[in-house]
Amino acid sequence: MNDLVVLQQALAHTINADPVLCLAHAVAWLDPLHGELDDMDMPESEHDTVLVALHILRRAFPEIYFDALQAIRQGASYQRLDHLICDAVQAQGIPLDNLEWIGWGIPLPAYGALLDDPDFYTTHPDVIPVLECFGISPQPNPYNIVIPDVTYKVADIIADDLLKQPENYWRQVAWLIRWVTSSTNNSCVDWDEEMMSSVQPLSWDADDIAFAREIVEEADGIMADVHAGLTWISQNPTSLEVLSRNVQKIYQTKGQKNARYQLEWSCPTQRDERGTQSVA
Amino acid sequence: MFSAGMNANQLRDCLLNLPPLELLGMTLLQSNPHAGFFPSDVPRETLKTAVVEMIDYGERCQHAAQRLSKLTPVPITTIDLWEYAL
Repeated sequence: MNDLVVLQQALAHTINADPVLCLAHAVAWLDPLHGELDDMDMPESEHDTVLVALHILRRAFPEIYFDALQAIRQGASYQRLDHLICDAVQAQGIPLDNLEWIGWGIPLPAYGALLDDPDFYTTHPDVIPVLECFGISPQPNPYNIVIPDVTYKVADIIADDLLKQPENYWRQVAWLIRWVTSSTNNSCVDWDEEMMSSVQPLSWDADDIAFAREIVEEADGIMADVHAGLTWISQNPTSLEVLSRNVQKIYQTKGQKNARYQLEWSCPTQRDERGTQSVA
Repeated sequence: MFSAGMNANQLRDCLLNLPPLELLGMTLLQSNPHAGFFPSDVPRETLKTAVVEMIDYGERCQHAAQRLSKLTPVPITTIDLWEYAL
């Protein structure tokens, strides 16, 4: 055995034989960052960012904190630490994509749809046929899109009714409608990034982490339904016609007191023939 | 001394008679004499428990130190310090 290794072991053995030195050794090994972080407005270097991250992880995710400490001891680069910490935090259900953001609070996704923003129609062209059922279209003046309140009310009635349907695909379409009208009651689904960044982020306290996990998990579930509903209705033109017909029924009763209408939803079980033909 | 009728020497003896602190991290270090400064073959769950315990212990120590630093002054009325008399 190397003399230096023997010396190191002897030194460690001597240190650990003394209770106070052993305690100091254990602190150096397991929690070298003990103590409060001085106020730091904004990390100005990668070193500061790592320091802030370690202080947050120490309380929020002790096992990730220790993994990061181990990596630092092994000489890990900033990029390696960034990947290690972000991947580990993501595995805990928190969507941290960049270590620089950790100091701002818990990052939350923002999937919100902005119907009065022309860019929305450019980035989501597949949603346009569904919106057209409600009379929403970016044409002819894409820079002055105003969605009347009644459209949101009609969408709400339609979504409520669809959620009562036994067929899963109609319920998924309901979530699609709720997403485009920002009425899911889940902030991650209803808010766009601008709105999300305007509110105080959640802290890294245990309660806030639990809440963030819950809201992100729910948002992911809703968005999965949104995408499934969009895929299904895009492949079934008949279902679009059914949706449009029911929307018109409600529009026709606009202004009538005690208006009564019966919404009817057909049950196409697979991609209908026209959809198949158009794909072929 | 104090309302418990304890003097300074008795308080010192009392503190010295406390059982030694046993933290998992210390136990791991003492039970791995050939592992060098930082043992690397500790099971992950054990390590996690040790880290959490150490963080908790450190915070309790800090909290106690802060409380001690903010103790209300105790007026000493039974000792005359003539050298500090005005």
